[in-house]
Amino acid sequence: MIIKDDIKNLLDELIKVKAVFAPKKDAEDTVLFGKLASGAEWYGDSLLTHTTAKDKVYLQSETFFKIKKDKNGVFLEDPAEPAETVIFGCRPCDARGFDIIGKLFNWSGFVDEYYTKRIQKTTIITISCEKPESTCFCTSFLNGSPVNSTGSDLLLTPLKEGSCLAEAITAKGEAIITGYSRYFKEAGAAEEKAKIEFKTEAEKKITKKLDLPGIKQKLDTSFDSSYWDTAHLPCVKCGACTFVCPTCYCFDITEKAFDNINSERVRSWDTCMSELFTRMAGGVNPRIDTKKRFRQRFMHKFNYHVDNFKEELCTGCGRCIKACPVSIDIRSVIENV
Amino acid sequence: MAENIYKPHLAKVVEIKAETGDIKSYKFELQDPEVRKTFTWKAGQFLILDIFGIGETIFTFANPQTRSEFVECTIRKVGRVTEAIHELEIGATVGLRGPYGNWFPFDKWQGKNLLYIAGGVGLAALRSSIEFALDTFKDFKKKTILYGARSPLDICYKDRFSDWEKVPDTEIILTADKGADGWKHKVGFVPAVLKEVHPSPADSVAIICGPPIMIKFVLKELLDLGFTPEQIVTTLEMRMKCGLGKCGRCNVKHLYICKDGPVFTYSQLKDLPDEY
Amino acid sequence: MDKELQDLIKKLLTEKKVDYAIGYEKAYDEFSTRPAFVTSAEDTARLIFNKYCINNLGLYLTKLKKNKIALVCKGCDIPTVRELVKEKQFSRENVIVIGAACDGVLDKRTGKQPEKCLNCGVKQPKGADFTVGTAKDSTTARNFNDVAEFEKKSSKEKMQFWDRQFEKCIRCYACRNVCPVCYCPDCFAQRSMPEYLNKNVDAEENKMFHMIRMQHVFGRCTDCKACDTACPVNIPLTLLTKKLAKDAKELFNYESGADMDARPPLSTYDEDDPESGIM
Repeated sequence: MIIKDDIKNLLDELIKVKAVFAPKKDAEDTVLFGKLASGAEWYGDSLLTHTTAKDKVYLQSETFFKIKKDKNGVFLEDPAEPAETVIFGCRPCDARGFDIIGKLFNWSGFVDEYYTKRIQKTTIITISCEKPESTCFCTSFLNGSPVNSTGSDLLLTPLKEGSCLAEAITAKGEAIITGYSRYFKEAGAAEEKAKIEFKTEAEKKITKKLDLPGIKQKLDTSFDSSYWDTAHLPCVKCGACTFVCPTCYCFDITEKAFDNINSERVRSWDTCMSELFTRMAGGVNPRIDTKKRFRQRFMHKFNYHVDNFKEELCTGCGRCIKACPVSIDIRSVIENV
Repeated sequence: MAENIYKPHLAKVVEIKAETGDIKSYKFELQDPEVRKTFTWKAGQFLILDIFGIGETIFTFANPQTRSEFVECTIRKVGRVTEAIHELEIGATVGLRGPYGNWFPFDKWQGKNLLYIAGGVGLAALRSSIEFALDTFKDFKKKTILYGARSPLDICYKDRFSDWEKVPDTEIILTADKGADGWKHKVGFVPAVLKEVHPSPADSVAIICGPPIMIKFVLKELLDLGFTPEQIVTTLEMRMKCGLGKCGRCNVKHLYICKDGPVFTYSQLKDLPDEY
Repeated sequence: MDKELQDLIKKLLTEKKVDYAIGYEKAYDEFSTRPAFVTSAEDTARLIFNKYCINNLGLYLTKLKKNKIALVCKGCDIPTVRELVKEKQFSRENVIVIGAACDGVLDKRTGKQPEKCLNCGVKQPKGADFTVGTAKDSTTARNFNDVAEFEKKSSKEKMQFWDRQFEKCIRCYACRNVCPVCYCPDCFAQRSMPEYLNKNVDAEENKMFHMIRMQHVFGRCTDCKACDTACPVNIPLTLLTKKLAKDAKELFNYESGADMDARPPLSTYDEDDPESGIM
C-alpha cells in the first residue's frame, strides 16, 4: 500500500536513477507522456492521455545502426544501449498494449532486439481506472478490465482515504516495492476487499460491450460486402488513429542520409491508412482505393490478427475515437458490418 | 547475444550483366568468409538488398542453392533504390540479409513433370527453381518451360536457354506478344500458347510467375486442362519491408507474403480475397 | 432546425437532384458529431445540426468529384466551396450549398468555442443556395490581434515556441488530410524520387513539413481551423493559418473564398507586388 502523497516522493527518487515518463500537462491542455524533471510534474487527474506511452519503448523513429561509407569500406555502428526507464501512470489498456506488441516482436522465429532490449529495461507502473471515458470499451476483451494487470510490472489501485493498493506483478515490480520500501506499508484483507469492490464498480460503469467473437465471424465473410463502400466515406485516411493506438505496430525502414558518407538506418511508425503503405516500386498499388485501406485496418485488428495470435489487436482504450478528426467510432464500424 | 535480425551482411559486386533495356543481373560476393560458408538458401526464397545511403529492397535469389558461389539477383530499374543499384560499379559494397520466406517444395515433386509458365521478368523469379530442377534433373520427369514476353527484345536470360535445353528431357517454348524480324519462335499471348501446347495434368506440377493479368488467364487455362488447385504453384509479390513478418504491410488476409510465402499453391490462394 | 434540414434533403434526393447529401450525424456521445453521407430519403433521419458540428464538409468535394452533392455548410465552410470551385476542383453546378445558421461551434477537445466563432460575420450564412435556420452575426469584426501579439516576440522566442510544438508532432498528417485545399494526389511529403522529407520523425523534419505545407496553402487556405481541431496533440496551427490570412490580406488585399472573381495571389503576377512575403 502506498499513500497518494508519497507517490510524488517516490517519483522524485526514481527520477534520480532512471528516466521517468508520466502524464504531463502541456500548455494547450494536452496531456502527453513526458519526461518528468520532478514528481510534482505528474498530472494524475487525467483519465486518458492523448497519446500512448508506446513511443517510450517502441520508439517512433528508432535508429538501427549508423552507416559510414568511405574509401576504406562500409562500417556499421550499433546504437547506444537504452537507458533504464520507468513508465508511470499509464492505464491497464496501455500496459496490455505492450504485452500484445511484445508477442509480435518475438514472433515468426525472429526476435526484434531493439524492442526486447528496451522493454527489459522498462518498468511499467500502471494506475487502475476509477471511471471510464465515453469511448472506453476495455471490458469487451477477454480479461480486459480497468483493473487488469497484463503487461504491468506494478499495479496501483486507488482506494479511499488517499491511498493506493500496490501489487507487484513481476520481479521488476517487486524491486520497486523493496527498493523504496519506506513508502510502502503492508496491506491486509480490508484493502484486498476494497480492491475487489473497486473492480466491480469500475467495470459496471463501462456500459458498452462488444461481442468480439461474433464480430470476427461476421468479418470472416464480409470482405466483399458493400458495407465498406459507404462506411469508408467520412474517413480522411490520415492515420491519426494508428499513431495514438497502443497496439498498432506497423513500421517502415528507411535511410536517413546526412551526406555521401554518413547515413542511418531508421525504423519509423507507418500507417496502413497511407497510400504509400502498399505501393510497390513502379507505382503498382493493390490498395490504392481508399475503401480497401479502411477495410484493411479493421480486418487486421479484429480478424487477421486473431487468426495469427488468438487475440484482437486492440485493448479498448478508445483513443482512436477521440483522435479521429471526423469522430469515426471503431465500435460502430465493426458492429454494423 | 542473438544476432541482430535487421543488420545486413556486407557483400561486394563482382559482376554486372545487362539483360534487356532496364534489367541487369548482378553477382554479389559476401565479404565475411565465415558468413560465406554458412549463408545458404533454397530456391524460391528472397533476400533484402541494402544500398547504403539509399535504402533497402526485396529480390528473389536468382540462382539456386546448387550454384551458390555467389548471390545473384536480376533487377529491373523502377524506383529510387533500383535506380541507385543500376549505378553501382564492380567492387561497390552493398548489404545483404536473408534468406527469408518459404521455398518451392521440391521434395513433394519428386518424380513429377514440371511445367514452368513465366511472363516477362517473372522468369527471374523462377530461374532459381528452374536451374535447381535442371541440376537435379534425375529427380524429375519432363521439364517444360513456357516463357513469353511483350516482344523479342524483352526476352530475359536468352543466353542461358541453350544450356537449359541440353539437360535431358527439357523443352523450352518461347513466345512473344508481338513478333519481330528474325524471331523464329511463336507469336501470341502465353495463355493462348498454353492452350495450344495442351499439357497433361497427370503427375504434373505447374509453376507460374508473371504479370497479374497473365496469371489470371493462365490459371483459367490450367483449371480447364484439369489441373487441381494443389498442382498449381505461384510466387506472389507485395510491397515488403522487413521480410520477417513484423512490419505488417505484406499481408493478404492473415497470411504474410514474407513469412507464409512467397510461394503459395493455388489451393491456398483461391479462398483469399482478390486483394492483389 | 433538424427537421427542416432533413425535409429539404429528402426533397433533393427524391427529385434526384443530387447523388449524395453530406451532412452531420451524431457520433459517439452527445458532444460529438461526424460527417454523414446520405443517399436515400429514408436515411435522412440521422441528419442533425448542432453546436458540435465542427467539421468542414467542403473537404469531401475533392473526394467525390464526379458526383452531384448537396452539402451542409456553416457560414465559414462556404468560402471553402468557392475556393475549390475557383481552383477547378469541382464544378459549381454539381454542388447545392445548404447554408446552416450557426451560433458558433464547440471544439470537442476543450469544450470551448474556437476563436473564429467569437468574431464571426457569417453566423447567418451568405451565398448559399438554400438556408436553414437563423442566427445573429457577431457584433465584433474579425481581427488579427493575436497574430500581431505573437509577431512582437523575438525571433528566438518564436523559434523556441515552434520547436517545442513540432517536437510533439507525430506526423500523422491529419492536418493535411482534413485540409480541403490539400488535395494533391502526390503530396511532397510522400515523394521518394526525389525525397523532400525524410520519414524520420523528429522536430526538424516535422518543422519542415509544416512550413512547406503552409507555403503551399498560402492564399488558398480559408482559415477554417480544420487542421487545428484535427491535430491529436493540439499543436496551435491556428496561429499559422491566421498568419497566412493576415499576410494575404495585408500584402495582396486578398481574402480566400470571399470573392468568386478574385484570382489567388500565388497564381497571378503584378509588377508592384510586395516582396516581403516571399523574401
